[in-house]
Amino acid sequence: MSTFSRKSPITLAGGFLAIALTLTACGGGGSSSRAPVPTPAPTPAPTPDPAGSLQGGVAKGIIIAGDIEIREVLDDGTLSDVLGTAVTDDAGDYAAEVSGDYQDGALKVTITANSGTTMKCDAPSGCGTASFGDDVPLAEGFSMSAFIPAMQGDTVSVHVTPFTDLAARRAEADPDGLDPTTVANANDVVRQTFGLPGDITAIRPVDLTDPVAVAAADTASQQVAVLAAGILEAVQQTDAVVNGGASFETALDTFADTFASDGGLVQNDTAASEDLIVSLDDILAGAGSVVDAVETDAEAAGIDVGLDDVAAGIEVAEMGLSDTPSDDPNTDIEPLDTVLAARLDQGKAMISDLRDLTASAQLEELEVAADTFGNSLELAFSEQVDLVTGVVTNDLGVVTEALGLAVDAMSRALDAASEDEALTSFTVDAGELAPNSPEITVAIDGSMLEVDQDIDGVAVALNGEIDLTISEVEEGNTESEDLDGTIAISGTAENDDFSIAIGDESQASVMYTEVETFTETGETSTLTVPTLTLNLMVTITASQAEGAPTFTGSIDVNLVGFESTEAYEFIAQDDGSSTNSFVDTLTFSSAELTLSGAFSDTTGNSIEAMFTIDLNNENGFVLEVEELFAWDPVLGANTFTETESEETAENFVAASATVGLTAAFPGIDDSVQVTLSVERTGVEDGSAELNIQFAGKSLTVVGNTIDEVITITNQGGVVMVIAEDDNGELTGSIVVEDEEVATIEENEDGVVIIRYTDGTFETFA
Amino acid sequence: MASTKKKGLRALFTLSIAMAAMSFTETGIANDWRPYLNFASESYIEPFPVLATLDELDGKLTRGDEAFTYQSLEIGVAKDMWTFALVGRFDYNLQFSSATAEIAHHGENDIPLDTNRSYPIDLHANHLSAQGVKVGYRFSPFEWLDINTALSYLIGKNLMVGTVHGNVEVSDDETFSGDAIVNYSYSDDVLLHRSVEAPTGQGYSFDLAATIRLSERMTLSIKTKDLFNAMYWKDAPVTQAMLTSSTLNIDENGFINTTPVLSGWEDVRDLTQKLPVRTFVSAEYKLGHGMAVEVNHFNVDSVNLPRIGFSITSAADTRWTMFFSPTTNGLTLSAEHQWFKFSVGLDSMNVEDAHYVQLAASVNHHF
Repeated sequence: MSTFSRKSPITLAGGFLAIALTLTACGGGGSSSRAPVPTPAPTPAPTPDPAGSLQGGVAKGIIIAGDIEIREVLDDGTLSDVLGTAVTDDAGDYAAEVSGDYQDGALKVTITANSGTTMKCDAPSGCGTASFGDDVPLAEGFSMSAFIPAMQGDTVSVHVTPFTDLAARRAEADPDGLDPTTVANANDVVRQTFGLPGDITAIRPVDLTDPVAVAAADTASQQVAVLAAGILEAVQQTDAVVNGGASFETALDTFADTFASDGGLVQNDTAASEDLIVSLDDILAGAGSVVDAVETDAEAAGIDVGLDDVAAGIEVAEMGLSDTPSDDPNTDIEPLDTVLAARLDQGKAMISDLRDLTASAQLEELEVAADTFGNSLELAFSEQVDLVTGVVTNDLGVVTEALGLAVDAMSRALDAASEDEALTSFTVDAGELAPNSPEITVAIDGSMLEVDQDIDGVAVALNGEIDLTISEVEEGNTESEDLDGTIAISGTAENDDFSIAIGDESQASVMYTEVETFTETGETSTLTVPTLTLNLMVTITASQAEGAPTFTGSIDVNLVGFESTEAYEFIAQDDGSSTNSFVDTLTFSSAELTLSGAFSDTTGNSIEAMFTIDLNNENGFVLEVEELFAWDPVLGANTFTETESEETAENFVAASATVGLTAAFPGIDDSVQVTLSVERTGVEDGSAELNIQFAGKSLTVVGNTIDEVITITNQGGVVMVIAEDDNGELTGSIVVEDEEVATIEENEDGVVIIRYTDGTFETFA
Repeated sequence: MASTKKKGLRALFTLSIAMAAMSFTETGIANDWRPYLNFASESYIEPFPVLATLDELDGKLTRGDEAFTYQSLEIGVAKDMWTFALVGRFDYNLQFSSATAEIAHHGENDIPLDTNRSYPIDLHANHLSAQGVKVGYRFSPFEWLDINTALSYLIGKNLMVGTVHGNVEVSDDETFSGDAIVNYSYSDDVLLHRSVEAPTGQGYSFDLAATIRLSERMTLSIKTKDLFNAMYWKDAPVTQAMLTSSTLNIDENGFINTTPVLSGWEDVRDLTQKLPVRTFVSAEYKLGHGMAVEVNHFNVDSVNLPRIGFSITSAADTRWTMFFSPTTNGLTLSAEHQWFKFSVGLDSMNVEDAHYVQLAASVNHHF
């Protein structure tokens, strides 16, 4: 038995008593004849009114001028005659009326390529002979399908993608035969397989070859399109190895049939070339390259497509794959029991999921049977945060500082070696920065540098290979230095508390120009860094902390268009007054920091995580700080003024940060995938999106600081909207397919109550 | 809180009750129109001082499981054997376990409950406020017997009928655990503050009183209020709720299955409300020289309040009576004249300590 808050029983019983005491939703037509003798006109067979219409997008890349046919699944599992037809337009969209002969069964939508059907290629490595972004003719007869359990509403969106085609083939292969249940179940299994955030027939894939459209699309539309293109990319890559590259249409068809017959998708195959299998890992890798291709294409057009969330989701999904390769397909995915549930029940199920997630995060305080989830059951989410903070603490700074001193000593040694090629050793005075190791000695062997000594209590063994081109020019009062090169560093640094190991693959490349100009009244120094990239492979271990938490991964920094100036000027007047001005400016085009790897400890706890900060200064904001000291001889004193440029609503640094991790949520799932992205959309405004993939389910939380509305959407299309009213109390609703199934209200006692349309109610907690 | 107390006092002293005195003013002179006015208020809260309920139960807690308040206002005329009146009434009747009272008292006063002790929660509430019309008829089938009858047609304004049952326990770390079930109908949701449309209700109440003159000196009176009654409510809001601390369950496969702390069902339903019958029995013996002794007994549900009293009639035909209640140790003083009656009763000389407060006033005019 858990406990409820101290106030609850009082509110219920005591409060009641105290309050009580105190109060106490044709055609016909005829033809006419010119013959003078009237002839009875033939009466056309009556045509029933349409039952409704279907519309949607068709993409594998976007498929243009494809033939759409709609059929119904009959009670015996066979398909009806064609109930509706259409042809996809230039955007890959279609709209078709469904005949009044429709009998409320499952519907199948099929796109079939005719001789004039084309597809926009969105695979990074191209489609056959076509390149990314080109229109490519589709082989006549190529087809994809989608099933929906029923047509609910007058107009229903049904998008046709490789995902719906996989589901369709799975449903058609189901030994139970086609019916609404097998159709719904197959759709859900495919959704889970690829970690998609909602009904696979309800998410419209965006045209990835249209940067403007991609930038405007929501994350789900981007994700579906990217993963669909990832499938094409992976299928082609594998087919190229296995079959020497058959047509991509044939390769896709084979992949879909294999998925249906296997009952699932291989997660991470053993990659023996003769057994190459299209695995989820391959598809995610393909999707990653799709993101790169789309971003590159968009950058050329000067458009930020905003695929950070999708990229993070792909990375986190890769983290969630088994570390042990296997060529066996994953057939363990079961459809959720809510796929055909009534809307009201779907709404209730989402609240239950939210509550379960919350409870799981609090499990560490409870005594539960431990064995069912192995060690992960004992590992509460907060403990995983402790795992990260156990590695990344301020105390780590002592070790990183020693590393920094060693790298600095290397650069000074290189500078000295460039002037004396016979130099084999160079000693640097670290001065006050390393009081206990004032001298740092660098061994020099051509371009190879080495530091191997104790620096302020930290044992440093660092090797560097530096390939730099440095040119210095001095003209009149101007000195300039250009540097261009790469630095490869590897080694270790450790003390009693921490150790840092830098892998051999680590390197930095930098290009910069520094110009110093001297005048009679001052000097100006300008540092211009067109590009700076840093890629470190590191292992950091907190040796003394419980479980010796360790981070193993990569740290990447990419800085573009950095420019910094420092200007100093001294002006003296005849009357004895003078001014000293210091003006510092700083600007850049973009900056990105990415940290990706695994945090683990010796007790078996581990999480994989990635963190990205992306700064985009496309508006060209320049930070300028001016300090002015003015000497007044009369007063015999300085006056000091400081001014700093400030961002404006039109000119600010756009920023986004993304965190992705996989973590065990006890009692829920031992590999929950979490992606959080935060975007700065104004000087004081921002938005955030959180996506949680767990136990085959998906929750997406979106909010922003402008309208202060939080929207939570689950895999079934249940949408919960929460906001604060004028009194600061929460209010909201739960909507499923445009039908409100519940209201949310915080009462004057601070209790948030969810009231469903069937009269039942419950609280969040 | 002082102002709250004053408001409470004002409420108590402007709307008052006195079961013993409610119909006495209907005695008068035949064949005349006699307008009359009755205020009555009577409150009895066994575990708390009455005024403490107006101040978050800030008062000494004593053992008890009953509470009621009856307040009424009646304005009418009497002619011959008939009375005709407009009536308003506010009734609250509560029964609860002593532990429930203890939880309420301690909660409101931030007093910690005993740890590792089970507190059974049991609460029954019955509340009505209504307005209506009342017709009374008095007759004497025998010389020694007077019968007073009154039938009221009531329009319900406010309603609360329901129960809370459960159990609460406090652990050593001062966290609560337990379960409770609420089932109640209302016009105002005081628990979950649900926005509701006030229900409509109507009903009746029949009162019966008999005065038997056993001898020239001995008189026996039996008076009943709401002897037969029913309030019929249409579309009365109802809530059935369950509160539990057992929110986390883990199945055999180790998966979490949570239940909410508070869940339930809300709807509207037609409801018939029954009010408890109030009975007042008295026996008076005239001693002579305007003096008399009286023994009386008031009952509602399981509450019994006996009293004994002594009266004397002054030269101005004003009868003064002093009653003592051995149950409440309270004193009631009344003054009765053919044109008025006033009565006040407390069970403590300090009104802030009083668990029983009674005040009644009536005026009738003779044209």
